[in-house]
Amino acid sequence: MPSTPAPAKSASHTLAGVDLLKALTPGERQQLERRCRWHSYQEDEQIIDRETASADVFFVISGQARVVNYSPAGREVSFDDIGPGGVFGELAALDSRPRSASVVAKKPDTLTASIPATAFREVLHSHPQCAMTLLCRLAEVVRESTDRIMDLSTLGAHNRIFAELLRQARESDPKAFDAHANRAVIRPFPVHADIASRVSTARETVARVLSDLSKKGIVARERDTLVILDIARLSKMVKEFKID
Amino acid sequence: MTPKVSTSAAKVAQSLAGIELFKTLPGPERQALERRCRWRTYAEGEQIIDRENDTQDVFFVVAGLTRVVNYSPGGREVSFDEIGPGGVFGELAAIDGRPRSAAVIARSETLAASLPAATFREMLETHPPIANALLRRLAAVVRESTDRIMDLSTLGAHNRVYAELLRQARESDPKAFETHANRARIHPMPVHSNIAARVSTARETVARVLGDLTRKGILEREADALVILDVGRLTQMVKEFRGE
Repeated sequence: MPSTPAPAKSASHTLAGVDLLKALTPGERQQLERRCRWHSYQEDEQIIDRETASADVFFVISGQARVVNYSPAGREVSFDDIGPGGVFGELAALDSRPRSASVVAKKPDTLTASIPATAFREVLHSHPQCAMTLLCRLAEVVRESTDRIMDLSTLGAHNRIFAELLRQARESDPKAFDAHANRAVIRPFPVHADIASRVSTARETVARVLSDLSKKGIVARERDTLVILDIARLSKMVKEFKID
Repeated sequence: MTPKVSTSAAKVAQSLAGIELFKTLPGPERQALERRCRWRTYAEGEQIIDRENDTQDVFFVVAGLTRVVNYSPGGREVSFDEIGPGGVFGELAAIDGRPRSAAVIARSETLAASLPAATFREMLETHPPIANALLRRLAAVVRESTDRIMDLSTLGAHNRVYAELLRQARESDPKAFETHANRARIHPMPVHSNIAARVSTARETVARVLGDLTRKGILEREADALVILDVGRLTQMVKEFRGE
C-alpha cells in the first residue's frame, strides 16, 4: 500500500484506463470525466436492469461486471465478464432500443462511470479511432456469440463443459498454450455455477463432469486452482461423445 | 406457377446506390468507391466466402440473396443470417484482421461488390456516419445472437421451432403483427431444412412439429405460403413444454 495520504475520492475517478477512450487527449478526457456519473456497486448489486429505459453507457473503472439474462423460469445465462477498462451498455446507446441484458457487479466496490447516450455518440462521431475500437469490440462479441451458438447447436452439455474449461485455461494461463504445453492452470478455481451459466447446463452437471475428469486424471484441484493435466486429451474429448 | 419477373442478378447495374451502409455518401464519392470495387456474379449455391481462406475483403449484396453459415465437424449446418440486396457481409475480418468467422454462400444468383479491408477501414475512419451505421448493424447482430443463445439455452427444440415460425411470420407479414391480428402468412413456404439450420435441430423434427401444428389447427398450408391461424396460441406455446 502506498504510504501517501489516502487519495481524495476523485483521484480514482479517471477514465485514463478505459480502452475505448485511448484516442482522447488528456483535456478531452477530463472534460468527459466531468460529465460522468460515478457510482460504486456492491457485489451482486444490479447495475443495469433489463427492464429500465435508460440508455447510458458504462465504463468499468475497478472491479468486475457480469452481463446476464434470465429465462422466464429463472435460469441464468451469462454472456460476458467485464473488468477494469471495459465498457458495457453500448448497444442501447447505439440503437436506442431496449436493453438486451442485465448487468450485475461481480466484485465488491465495483466502480463505474456512466455517460448519457448522446455524449457517447458525440465521442464516436468526433473520434473515428474510438469508433474503430468499438467496432473491433463488437466484432469480438459477434465472434464469441457465433462460437457459442455453434457449441450449443452441435455439442452435448458435457462437451461444452470440456470446451469451457479449455477456454478458461487459455485465458488464465496463455503461456502454457503458447508453449504447446500439455498442462495449464485455471486460477482462481472456477465456480461451478459460473461454468453452468456460461455453457447453459445445470450446476450439478458441472460438478459431476469435473469429478469424472479428476477420477480420470485429466484435471486436479490444487489449493485455489484447477489444473488441467492433459490438455490434448481434453481437447479431443470436446469433439467426442455428442450427447444432445 | 407465376412467371418469374425478377431480372437476372447478372444484368443489374453495378451500383452501390442501394447499399444501406453508404446511404449518406455523396454521389461522386460513391461513384469513386464503385470504381474501386470488384464486381462478381455468383451462381445459386456457390460459395462466396470460405471459412478457411484468409481474404479479408468486405462484400456488399447488390442483387440476390446470401446466407451466412457454419458447419460442425460432423457436417451439421448452422445458419446465422440471410443477407439480401443492400446488405453487407464479411465485415468482421475486414474490421479486426482475424480469420473468417463463418462461410457465406449465394442462395440465389447474386451480384456482389467487394472492397479490400484497408479501403473499407479508410472509409470508416473518414466517414463517421458510415462507422455509425456499421456500429448499429453489429449491435443488431449482437442482439439477435443474444436472443438465440437464450433460446438454445432455455427452450426445447419444439419451442424453438414455434419461435422461429413466429419470427418468420413477423418478417414476412409485419402488418398482421402491427394490427395484432391472430393470423399471419409466411411467404414463400419455409423450407424444413432452413428452419432446422436456424434453430439447431433435425429436419425430421421440424417436419414432425409442423405436422402436429397443422393437425391442431394452428397452421395451414397454402399453395406457396404457410399460414399461422392462431398467433396467440403459438406465442403461448413457445413458453410451454420445455422439451430439453
